[in-house]
Amino acid sequence: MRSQQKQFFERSDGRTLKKWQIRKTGWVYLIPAWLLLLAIVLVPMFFSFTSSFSDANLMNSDSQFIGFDNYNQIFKDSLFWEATRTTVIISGMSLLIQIPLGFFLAVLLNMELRGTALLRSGILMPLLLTPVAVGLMWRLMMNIDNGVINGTLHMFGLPAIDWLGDRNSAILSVILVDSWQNTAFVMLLLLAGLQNIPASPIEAAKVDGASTFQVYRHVILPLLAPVALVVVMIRIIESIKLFDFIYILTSGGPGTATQNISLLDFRYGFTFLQTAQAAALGIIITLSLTPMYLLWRRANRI
Amino acid sequence: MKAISKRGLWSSKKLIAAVSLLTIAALTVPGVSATAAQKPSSITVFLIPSPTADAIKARIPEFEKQSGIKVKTVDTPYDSAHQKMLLSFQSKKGSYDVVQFDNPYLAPFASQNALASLDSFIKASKTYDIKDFVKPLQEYGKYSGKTYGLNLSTEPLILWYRTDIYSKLGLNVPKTWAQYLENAQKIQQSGEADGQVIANNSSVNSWWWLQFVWSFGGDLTNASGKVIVNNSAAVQATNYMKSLLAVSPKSAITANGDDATTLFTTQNIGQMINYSGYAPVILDPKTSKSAANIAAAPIPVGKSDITELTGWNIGIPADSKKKEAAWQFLDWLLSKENTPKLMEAGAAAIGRTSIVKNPAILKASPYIAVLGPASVSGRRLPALTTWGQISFEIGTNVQDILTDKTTTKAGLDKLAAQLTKTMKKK
Repeated sequence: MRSQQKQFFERSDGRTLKKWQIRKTGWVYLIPAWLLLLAIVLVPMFFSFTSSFSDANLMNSDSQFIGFDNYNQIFKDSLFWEATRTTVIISGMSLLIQIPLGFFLAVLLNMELRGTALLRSGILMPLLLTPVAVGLMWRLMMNIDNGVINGTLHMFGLPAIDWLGDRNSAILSVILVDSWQNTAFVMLLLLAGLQNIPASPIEAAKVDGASTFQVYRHVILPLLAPVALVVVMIRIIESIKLFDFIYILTSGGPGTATQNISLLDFRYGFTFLQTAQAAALGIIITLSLTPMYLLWRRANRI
Repeated sequence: MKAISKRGLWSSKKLIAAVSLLTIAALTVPGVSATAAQKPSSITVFLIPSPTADAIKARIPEFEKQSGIKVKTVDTPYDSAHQKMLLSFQSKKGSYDVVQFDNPYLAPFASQNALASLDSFIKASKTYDIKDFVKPLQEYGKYSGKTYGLNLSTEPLILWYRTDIYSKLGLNVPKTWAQYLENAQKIQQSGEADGQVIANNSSVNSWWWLQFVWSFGGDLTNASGKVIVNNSAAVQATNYMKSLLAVSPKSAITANGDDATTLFTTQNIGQMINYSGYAPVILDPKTSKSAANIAAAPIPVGKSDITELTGWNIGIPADSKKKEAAWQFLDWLLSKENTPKLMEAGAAAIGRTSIVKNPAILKASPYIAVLGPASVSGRRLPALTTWGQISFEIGTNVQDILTDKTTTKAGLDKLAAQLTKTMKKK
């Protein structure tokens, strides 16, 4: 170990570097990355933050400081609470579908049965599509008059479902489409987790007479928990950010039935032209995601 | 030195005065000054992808050849185009010299002095001829009495109907909304087709709803500015819209204007209220299975004969540094003489009187005849800076009523409360 450290401090010309010199060199190497981060993340975030305390909008370039007025208005806006409720429903229901289904598919692929490669490609296909294409495709498929889904239901003598026109079906449609596209992502991470579990504890449990269910319940699931936690965090963050395919699929309708918090933020900024209010909601969304991020960081350290 | 006679001196003074006057005139009359003095080599035109934008691009080479001015175009999709323009106007860098925009954005643009007034250009032009437009179309690009946008297209709501279904069922072209509903019910009951279709999607239904409200004698506000979207006229209009749903294809509740057109052109639907701008899709046999059996007529009337007018505007940003060249382009593109050429290149129809009464154009596109009466009774969407939010609030509340989440009166009361608050915003 000592010799390794010595090599690290030693330059190719034989001169040794002091610790502060190494640190300084490290910082120099990081400068381009920091500049990029500053330009595309930190500066816009700073402007967004300061803008959230102003009355700036797209029709007024001379803005005034108005304190927490934008935040107050958002918390008083019934649209915000409706959108929050919709976001929680979509996130919760999507997780309830995606995690078990993703785990089931991961287990199936981990068994490496015949046709696994084909199955894996098929499952991963939706993940490769852009959300806008997904929205357009499902919008056509879910059309009550001439969509392929109701056509299939009709073939089996089942009644047509108004997938996008009924308030409850519309939110279910959003959850189903989100799950169709993103279960593959859950599966992929859980599969990686499953493949990293050492064989010895599983074999030991089997030798001790544990059933397959018991092996999963007491050995595999606890060992998979850190990965699962990361997956849950990522999916919660992603489902809160969900925007593009909802915009295409339902435009937040009928009424505001499927308008989630990200779509509302878009409306504030680009329909109502109230950019400062949109910035304030952006800050609220970021702050609400912070606990998820911290949990994710913690899970990563496990 | 030759003495200057009194008469000669006087003549010299007159000459100097005349030259001075001409110089002042040349510097003040737009379209004459800078074009002669310093002709810019290029202008940038902001376009929103549409058949009209494609037609403009097709006409550009001819303008470049005639004027020596290069025209660069920038395309931005509709969903983000107006926001991009607003951001550009705020920066005041003169990024664009000509901008295509949708009429509801006239108020947000003009209220922040982002567009140049075109009145002096129009007045000085020998080729534009504003009098070739009927009064509502002359007013179409105005905000607070000044013209900020030229008419790039004229797209009123009109009635599209299937002549084969009408003739089979012995129906007449409806003159009133009651007759329109009656026709729709007869078509639905016959089993031949769905009765009718309009757009009910919350993102756009405000446009159709407002037409019905106007037809039933209502409005957004009364003369004193009080919001009246929950009065009896608005209730009747909303209930009428709801009664149309019963004789529509089921997907009409989620249909926007494009979807309604697709339904009408691909399925059996007897009639549709939609904008004239959809004509190229509706009347093209490649995109419309019943193109040969589709005709157009003015929309039915109710207590009032108002017809909702929509259509593209085109104008010059206030921060453009090449306004004269920009006007030169617009004046050439949309002159009375060149407008038919723009339409030949695929642009949506422009409701000049010389167009809607031109026998050759009417022979090729009979539906254009409808634009004449529709424009005479035309009214554009309200020129309000908060129209985006107002349209959203109408759209979502009306759809709540249409999907039975709430009753008509309760839904409209909620809408009235929201609009009262929104209209107080700057």
